[in-house]
Amino acid sequence: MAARRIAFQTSMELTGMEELGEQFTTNGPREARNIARAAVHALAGRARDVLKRRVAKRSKALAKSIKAVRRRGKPDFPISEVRVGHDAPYGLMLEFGTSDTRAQPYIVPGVEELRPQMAQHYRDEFGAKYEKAMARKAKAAAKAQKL
Amino acid sequence: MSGAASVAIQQAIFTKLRADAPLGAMLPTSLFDGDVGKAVYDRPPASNYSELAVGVFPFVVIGDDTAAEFDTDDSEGQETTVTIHAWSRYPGKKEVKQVLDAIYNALHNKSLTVTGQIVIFIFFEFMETIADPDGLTQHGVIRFRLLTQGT
Repeated sequence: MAARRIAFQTSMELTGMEELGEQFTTNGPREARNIARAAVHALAGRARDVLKRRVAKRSKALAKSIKAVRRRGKPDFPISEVRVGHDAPYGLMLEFGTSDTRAQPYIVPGVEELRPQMAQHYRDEFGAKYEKAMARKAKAAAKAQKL
Repeated sequence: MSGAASVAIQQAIFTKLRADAPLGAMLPTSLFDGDVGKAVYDRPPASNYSELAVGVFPFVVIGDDTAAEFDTDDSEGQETTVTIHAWSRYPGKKEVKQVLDAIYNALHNKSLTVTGQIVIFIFFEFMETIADPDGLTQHGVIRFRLLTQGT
């Protein structure tokens, strides 16, 4: 039980959340949702790139078939998914193997490779897109003032 | 994280599956000479299963795994995923699903003794049955996630 305690005894302190919340209230929830949606899709793009890299040497057609796709979700729950094998239906067979070919997994190892860095990637993507959105707003405001 | 932990985890899963009575009741004996256990394999019994006699089925093969670091300040840990394959020649998915169910019952949220490691949890993550392209064989895939810490 001691080991269990050690493993799960982690805490995280986020500072600046109030300011961020305030910013989103000011700039509108719609803007925040757009940024979150773009950040989630960028994460899916990173997953797509990892899978493509892992499979590129085995099958170029399969690598080409791996795509990050936006799915219709709820406004506060953006969903993007990575789809494999539309033009190369043997993607599943390569991952799991068949009765005469050994499994050469690329999806699970790719996802597991990305998993530990997922939160950091999300922060990076969200931060970059937030800064861009703010820069756009500032530019638009400056333009409006000139007029 | 160490390779030794991965070896110990695989050994523990192999031993657990071989010793599991409900799973053992469904499997024939191992194909390898001098091996008196049930048909749970580390390496597949053949490179092409169409060469195998029907009596060799169903069997279970420990598949690929992944390991990621899960260290804390004062201990070394790792998060591991283990994929296990079940192969059957039963005309339909019933048998392969029964084998997968037995594997699930043997491992999901159960205690597992791993040499040099404390298993914090072992959870079922994913299961799929696939009709093999040869038209005869049914293939089941089940994956578990484990969190372990060095003792």
